[in-house]
Amino acid sequence: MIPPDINALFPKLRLDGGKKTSEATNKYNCIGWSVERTQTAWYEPKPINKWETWPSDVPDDYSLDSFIFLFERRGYRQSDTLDTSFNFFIKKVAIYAAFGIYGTQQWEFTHVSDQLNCGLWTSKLGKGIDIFHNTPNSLEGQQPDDYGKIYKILWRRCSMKEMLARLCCKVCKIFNCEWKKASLCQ
Amino acid sequence: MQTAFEINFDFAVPHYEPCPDGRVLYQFADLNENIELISNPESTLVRDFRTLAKDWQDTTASYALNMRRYAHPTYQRLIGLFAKQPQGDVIPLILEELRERPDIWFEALKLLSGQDPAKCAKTFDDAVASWIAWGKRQRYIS
Repeated sequence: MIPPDINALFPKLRLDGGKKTSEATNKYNCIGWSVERTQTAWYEPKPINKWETWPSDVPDDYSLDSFIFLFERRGYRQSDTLDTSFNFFIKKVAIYAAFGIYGTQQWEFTHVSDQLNCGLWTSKLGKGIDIFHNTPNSLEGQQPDDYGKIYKILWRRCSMKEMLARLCCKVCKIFNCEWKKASLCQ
Repeated sequence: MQTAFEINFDFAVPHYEPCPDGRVLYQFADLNENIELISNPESTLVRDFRTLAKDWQDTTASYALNMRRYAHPTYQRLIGLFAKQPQGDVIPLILEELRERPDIWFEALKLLSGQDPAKCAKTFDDAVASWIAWGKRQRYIS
């Protein structure tokens, strides 16, 4: 179940099959979660504390381009469309942005979520919980504290391991296995 | 009377005097050391801090970046609030908040105290523990 405060912030989430998948923690954020599935590193372009990190090969200027570049350095390419549908051979990441949130007249990074091997999407909500959701669009919003809109879809080819996991997920779906939600899905 | 701090009256009945600014000064005559607790029944600082802190934490909980959380107008109002108060009044409030609802109060504490007891902390939990231990050593909190 998604907590009421999260439902209030993202009204589309409940109808999109949003599911809580972890307890709230500020040990890691959505970037660390999507980049390397870490549960111990908070990705912040200008780290202040030892548990915060940022790759040295990516500019630390907080610009939206830098967040996109972070994923490009890890093999992702920018998609020309905002197609979020599931493709067996493609791993997708959705970058969210909002306009002018720091008082500047430009788009700023707000959130990232990525598609799982089972086709669902996963998000770490700030210092809060992890969730599964059917589409990345359910986290879009117009309020100042929302994530804004999906600004860019990035994609890369799946590894053999990921394709095998996807195959297993598909088989599990057909036979309605319970363990389909296990680590294979991630 | 509503007090800002819970006081254990088991060991002594304090003598108290209202101050002109609305605060109440408690003195514990039974203790050898001259310990004074200051309770602020109608403290604007305590009320404002708790309201703003809750608002900031609730509003920015889903933000992906700490920088966006620090840039939030409510956090800026908190910093403005801290700047107007003596550090001895503000630091205990932040430490209590840190203990009850751990969050990134470290920069504010560093700014106010001029110290960084969590400099070597490798995890968020270590940093919280370091600041709480420091607060106890400095007698900001018990």
